Amino acid sequence: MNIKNKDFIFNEFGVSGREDKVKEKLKDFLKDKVDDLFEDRNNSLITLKKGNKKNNKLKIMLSSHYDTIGFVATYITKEGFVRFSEVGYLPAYNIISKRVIFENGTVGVIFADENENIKKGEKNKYFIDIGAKDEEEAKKLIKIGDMGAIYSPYIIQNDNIISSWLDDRIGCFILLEIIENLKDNIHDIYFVFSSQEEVGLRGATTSTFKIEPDIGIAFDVTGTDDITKKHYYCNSILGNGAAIKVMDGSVISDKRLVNFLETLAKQNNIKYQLDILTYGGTDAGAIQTSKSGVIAGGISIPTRYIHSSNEMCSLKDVQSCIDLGLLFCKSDVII
Amino acid sequence: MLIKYNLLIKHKKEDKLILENYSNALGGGGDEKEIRELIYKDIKEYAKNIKIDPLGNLQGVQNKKTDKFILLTAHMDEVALIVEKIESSGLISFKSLGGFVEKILPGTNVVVGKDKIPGIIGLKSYHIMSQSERETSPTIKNLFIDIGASSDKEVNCKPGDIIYFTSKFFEQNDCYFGKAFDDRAGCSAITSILKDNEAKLSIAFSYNTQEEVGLRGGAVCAWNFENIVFNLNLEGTTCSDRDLDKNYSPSTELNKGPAITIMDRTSIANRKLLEFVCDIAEKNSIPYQFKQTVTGGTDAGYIHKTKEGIPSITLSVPVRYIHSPWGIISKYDYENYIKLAKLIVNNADKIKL
Repeated sequence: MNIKNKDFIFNEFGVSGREDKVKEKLKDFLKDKVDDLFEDRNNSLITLKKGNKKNNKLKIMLSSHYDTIGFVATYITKEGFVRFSEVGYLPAYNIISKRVIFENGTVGVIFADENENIKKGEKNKYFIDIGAKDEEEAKKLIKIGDMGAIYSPYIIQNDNIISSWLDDRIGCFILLEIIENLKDNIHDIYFVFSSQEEVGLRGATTSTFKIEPDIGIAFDVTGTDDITKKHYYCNSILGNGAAIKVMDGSVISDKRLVNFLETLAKQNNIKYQLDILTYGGTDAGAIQTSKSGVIAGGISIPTRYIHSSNEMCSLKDVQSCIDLGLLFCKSDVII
Repeated sequence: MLIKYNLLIKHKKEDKLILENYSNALGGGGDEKEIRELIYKDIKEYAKNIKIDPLGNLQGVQNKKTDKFILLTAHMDEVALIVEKIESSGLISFKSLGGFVEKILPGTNVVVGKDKIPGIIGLKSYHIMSQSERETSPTIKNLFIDIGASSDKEVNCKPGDIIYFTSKFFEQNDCYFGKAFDDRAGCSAITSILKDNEAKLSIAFSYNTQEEVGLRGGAVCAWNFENIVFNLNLEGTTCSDRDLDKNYSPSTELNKGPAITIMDRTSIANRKLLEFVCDIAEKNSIPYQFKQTVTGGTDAGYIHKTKEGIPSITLSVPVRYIHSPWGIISKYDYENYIKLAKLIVNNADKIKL
């Protein structure tokens, strides 16, 4: 695992619908490493590593979304405060006093008109303070429609990575690792960095239509339940290995694919667990229902505090996901 | 010059007449026949390959010298009510067809079913209400339509019939008053564009059904076309200038021009398209505003996800009291809305997406 040479994936801006900055960096990084590189019309980036099989070659799609949750500026008050709406799901209790970075580099902090608004979670009375003295000065820094995101730069400690954008840049990181280390794959492997997942799996919908894959796997974060261990809403545990998706709010994985991945992990001593999530959604949901249906599943990265300013993954789990993904790409999948 | 000026006035008058006709016509989700036939009569000599798709969308094309298209969309259906049950007392229970706040309904006059039976939405009188009933809003369960019948045998309609508001269009103080500006304003804009444009790209259009009950016509409308460069979705949107606390993000305001949607619940405007539209408005000195909330959804939500994606943008006319028996739009907003839509269509060949 080499984080240093691709840590742009944790640092480049890309809120849903405004993924251009991270897209350009990815294109630069990938252009010599893949056989083909193109986009769908919804800003998803698609790359291809051609397989060497002559007949009955399958199209396999690995997808992780490169958009993050964030904010959109909707109004600027006379005093120069920026009112906003969320892009994607951001609970009110997670955003107060957080630092925000806009696409153009402007930085601000979120607060509310009164303490009462915070207690009640009245987000329409929250604002982003960019330090402008009035409306006029604020408008020089921010336009209505500009997007921003909570930003905590990544750090690594005790083999865990902590950052605000792990959902789902950690999935993108895994795809990049697979691309770097994959040689002589049998089938055509399409690596998709999908857009607008956080607002409704939109990029994966259109890129799957374009690719027409036979099999699709989403690499995305999943909720953990390491403290209560009640396993009611989710069951994965940080550090227990790659989480093979059985279901989430958008998909029930194809049983054959789950079995195949499980067998692959067992035979190669890759640490794994099964991922059963009763909420949320991933690209796998969009892939599965494309056209007349696609065999779909997922490999999830157990992540604590998803959709907060500090999401946490275990790098050991990440390594297991890379290993499992790589093995899957190299094997002659028979389902 | 004078001739040109007269032409402009004539067009404005024509645009208003189209809007008036469309606003007065009836057509709720799944029952768009009346409004669809009206639109068909208006456009049949200006378009080719006109057809009605399986969901009832009215579609066609206007060919220019290229096989590349701009797709114009608007929805024909308005918010309405639907008969649930005829009570033995002759009263009609109903449900909503589209999003309503129920408290605006009591006291409204309506027409029921194919025969357009006049009725009113009744509610217990003030005198016989308990204090708690007076202080709370009625729910749709407590409301009924009274057509003056004394038993169910006298009621000539059946469950599933659609109930419409009867508001008639008029003009006052440079405002248009009427019902269903969401989205007959969009329908009349498409008709105006089809009648008079200088587009270089070919035009495909779809007047959609069942938007108010879940973007259903819009979900399928774009699958019938190939080579769509982008989609211009024409809408009516919320307007909050009458209850504006200046300190919070408003939706839109009347007389500030057509509203461009940056983002709503179902779509995020394509960035290049957004810049393109703002640029055209600025170059031609047309006032515009952004819709400054992210609530609501439009057909663009499905259109931009069709096939490998169709870049899409929504342009709306601000409507006060939208989703109610009466709405108000500004005459100037409407004129600028049509003007800007036409400019987008006429310059559509210049965009690089």
